[in-house]
Amino acid sequence: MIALDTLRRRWPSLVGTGLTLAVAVAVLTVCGLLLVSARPVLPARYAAASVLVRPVPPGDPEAFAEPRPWPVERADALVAGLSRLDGVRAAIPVHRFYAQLVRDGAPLGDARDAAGWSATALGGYRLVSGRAPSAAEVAVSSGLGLAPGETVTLLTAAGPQPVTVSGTVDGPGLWVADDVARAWTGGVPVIGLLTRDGAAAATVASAANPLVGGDGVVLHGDGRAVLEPVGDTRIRWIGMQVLTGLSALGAFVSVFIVASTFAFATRRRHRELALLRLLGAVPGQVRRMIHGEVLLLGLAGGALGMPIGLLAAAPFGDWLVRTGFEPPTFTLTYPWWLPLAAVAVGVLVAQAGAGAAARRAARVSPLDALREAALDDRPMGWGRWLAGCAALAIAVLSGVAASGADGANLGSYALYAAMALVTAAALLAPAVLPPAVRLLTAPFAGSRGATALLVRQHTRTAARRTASTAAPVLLSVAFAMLVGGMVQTTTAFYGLSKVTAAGAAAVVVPDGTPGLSDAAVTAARGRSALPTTLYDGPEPLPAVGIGTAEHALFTVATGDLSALARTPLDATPPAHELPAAVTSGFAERTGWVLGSGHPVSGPDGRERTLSVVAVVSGGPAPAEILLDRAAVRAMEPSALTPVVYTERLAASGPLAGLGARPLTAAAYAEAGSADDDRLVWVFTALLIGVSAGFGLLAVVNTMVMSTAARAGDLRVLRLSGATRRQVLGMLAAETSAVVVVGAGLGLGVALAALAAMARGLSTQLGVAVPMVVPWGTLAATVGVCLVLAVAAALPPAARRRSFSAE
Amino acid sequence: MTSTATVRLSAVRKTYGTGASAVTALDGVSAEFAPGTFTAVMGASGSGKSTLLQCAAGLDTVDGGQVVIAGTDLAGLSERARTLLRRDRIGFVFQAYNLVGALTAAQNVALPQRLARRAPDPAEVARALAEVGLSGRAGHYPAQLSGGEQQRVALARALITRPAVLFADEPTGALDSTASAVVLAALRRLVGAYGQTVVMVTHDPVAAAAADRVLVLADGRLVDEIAGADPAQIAARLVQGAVAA
Repeated sequence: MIALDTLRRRWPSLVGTGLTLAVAVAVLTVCGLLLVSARPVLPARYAAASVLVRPVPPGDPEAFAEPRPWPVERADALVAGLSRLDGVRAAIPVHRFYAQLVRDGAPLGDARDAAGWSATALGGYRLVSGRAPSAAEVAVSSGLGLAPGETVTLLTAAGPQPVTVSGTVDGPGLWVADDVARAWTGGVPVIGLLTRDGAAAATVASAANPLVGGDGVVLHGDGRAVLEPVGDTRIRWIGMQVLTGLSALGAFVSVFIVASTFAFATRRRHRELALLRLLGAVPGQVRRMIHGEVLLLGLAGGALGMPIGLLAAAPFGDWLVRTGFEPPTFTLTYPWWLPLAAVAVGVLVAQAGAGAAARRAARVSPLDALREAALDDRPMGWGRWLAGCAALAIAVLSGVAASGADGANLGSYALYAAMALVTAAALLAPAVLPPAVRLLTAPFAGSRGATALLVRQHTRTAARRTASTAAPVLLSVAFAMLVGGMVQTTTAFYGLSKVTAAGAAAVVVPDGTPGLSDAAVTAARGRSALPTTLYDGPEPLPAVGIGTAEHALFTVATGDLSALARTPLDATPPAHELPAAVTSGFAERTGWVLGSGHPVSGPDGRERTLSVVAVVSGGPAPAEILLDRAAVRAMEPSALTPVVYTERLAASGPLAGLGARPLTAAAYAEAGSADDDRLVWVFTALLIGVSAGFGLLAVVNTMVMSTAARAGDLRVLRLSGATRRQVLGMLAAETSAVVVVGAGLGLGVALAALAAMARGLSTQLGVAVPMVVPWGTLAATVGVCLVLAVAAALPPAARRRSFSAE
Repeated sequence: MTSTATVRLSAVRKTYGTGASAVTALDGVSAEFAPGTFTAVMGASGSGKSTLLQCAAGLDTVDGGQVVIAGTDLAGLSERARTLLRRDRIGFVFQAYNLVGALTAAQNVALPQRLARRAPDPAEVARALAEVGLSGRAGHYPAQLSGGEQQRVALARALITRPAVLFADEPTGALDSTASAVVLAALRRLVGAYGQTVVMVTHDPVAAAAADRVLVLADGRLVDEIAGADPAQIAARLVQGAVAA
């Protein structure tokens, strides 16, 4: 294999590329292992129930909504039927609601919900001390250190109330009397079956199937894992976005670096390739030789990167759990095929990167072996212009698309934008960089020294070499700036916009709790909305409940909001008709008009008719369906309020012990309105870190290669009377010029994309959105690039005492 | 006689560029190179001697006339077919950059066979290196060899495929007189001992004197033919030709 023989001697120039591939394979191995390991896990509280029955889930798993629960009556009927099945010891409906223990205003323990006492059997939990709870009592995990008889504060959706500890249990959670739990919950989300000894779960499940019919899903064995909390499913989904984003980025940047390295190497080896053609190598053989070299390089990189990835997976997985990108139930698995697949992808990535260089190598004419002059830089072809501009357009469009996205999607769009930007930068660099360097060095044009002249002439005449050294700088700077600026611009805006839209100057937010109780909402004295979920068939329809105080915030197009408040509440059975207002956008999309009625299910699973009493055209609607707050409370007793908007900063006195704290609008916007924002931040930091890391690797790589390639030039300079010091000074000046220009262009591209995105946001939301530029990130990135590039460029030159040709 | 020539050029024309800037490099050149002969092609810079070699070797296409190598007319051959013809029937030696720097002397010699997907025969490679007096240098890289030794490795490589004709473009141009003499002697021996056909482009009368005959080019035309002359005679004829032209 000729590739192996030539590689054996050329390896020093390819160390950087091989390392890049190693890092890529390591990233792919880590991300791949974490991706295949991230599977739903059956909550421990259902571990002893070998068969579980739950209602039909929504069709779209990314809706992240609990399935529509069974109404209590339907659940009772199912429980009665299921407990009569052969092999079933007991059928236990689960009533779960929001509750947590508080001591001195601070949360106590990790439990954020409570269930009826009978549910302990589903987890296989037993009493450690005391007895089962009755009214105004609670059983707690023995790990909390509470003794039976102690009085604690239980925070529920209504507010804090003192309860007595009745006993302790050998599992995590809170338990109350069954009828207390039943009163707190609207419907039943799951029924657990305890089977008799010797009864096979599969047999019991198949017997349960006809009984449940189309009204639910019977789960047993590993299938029970779908019962993981919806929050965990959502966290896993976000984690998946992060991991696929990182993998894609690693692969993409590797393609970029392999492409630029091999383009560079092919130009350097032009003469040698011509010689091979002269000696009878057909173009296909030259192409295959380049691909062969890349294959070996990819395998070498994989052999190095795979073990690193295997070692790094566990700590990285722990870190993801700590930051909230994976649920606490996450456990790492090591399928044997995954590292091999990562290496295979690494090899494919390298081949894709080298494709263009291989094609160019195959086009080398055998005549070039006989020619003396080195090949001049070709000017840019129209195809390259076209592709470069198209990539730039895609980058801007992705930036605009990112402005409309939220949560993890924002990160994904930012990533697409950056990828397109990298491509555009790589393609357009030869055209843009030389004039930019000339502009930069223009002030020094009149200086007497030779350095400025040499720097100007070198960058002018070697456009492609200049481009390939500046491109990674451009990549690092533009990527860091764009992603950082994009996230800051959007999150700052979204936080602020919600507050100002509610006509508020301050907020009250949860503090150590998942949401605000009614007691906290009352104490906050502001405006708020109570979120809930209606169901159209099994599909969730997000809705909020508002009170008369909030009505003034909305612009009514047709109908009358006051009709909402006339929801009959005390009727038995609960009222069938549910008055609702919808946003004009929702009305247009669904065709719902004023006065029309629509069958839905409430959060308690009961069927109702939603009658449209108003259509609103403006206002801070957190959901597209508005209900009466009291009606929501009646249907879903444990719903929580996410935030209360207040006219001035609320006094903290009345909020004490309620799991709430006041914030100014500015502090709220800065802190981020939700946990999602923090996740997006960490996601952003990861993306910037990985891309900048790859970019810096590329900077070092191209600088080392480029200086080595210029040994001849440098020797001529030395022979012409330049001192060693002068040569090194010239190299440092030239490198700095290229880095500064690359950084300047990266900044320009990022600013353009950020401005486009801010404009997009402004049009979309009708408010002026200020553009946030992360200057700190810029300074840090440029500084590191500068130091690394100069540090990488000088040693190869300094090492050659006489700058002799290779 | 015509049919037995290894390489035959008839009325070959080659022009570079178009319009006013067009340069006629070869203006109706006809020449034959018989088997087992050593021909030198001389001429001033720009006389078209390198173009003649490139056209005769099928590296470049001609604009008029005919080139036949070992019975194959180059007209109408595809790039791939010309590459294969070059690989199987033609050997090359030229001034510099003759060897692949990343390969050892032996690997360089075996390169044409590997490119032709034939397993290189170590014995054959060793014999080829021995023929040029480099038996002990098989494992050395080009950077570890002198200029003359590198050129002799290139010679061994050119011969490993037993080509019909060996083209040499200024093979001694980068060498001192001692190394030149060794390379020329090696070329001469190949012609004498193995009946190898050699066509060598040179501007050095001393090198040309190693050949059986010397063709002199000026302005793309064949202006003189000298047979069995010594360097002084060749130099004198060249000066005459230059004055006449």
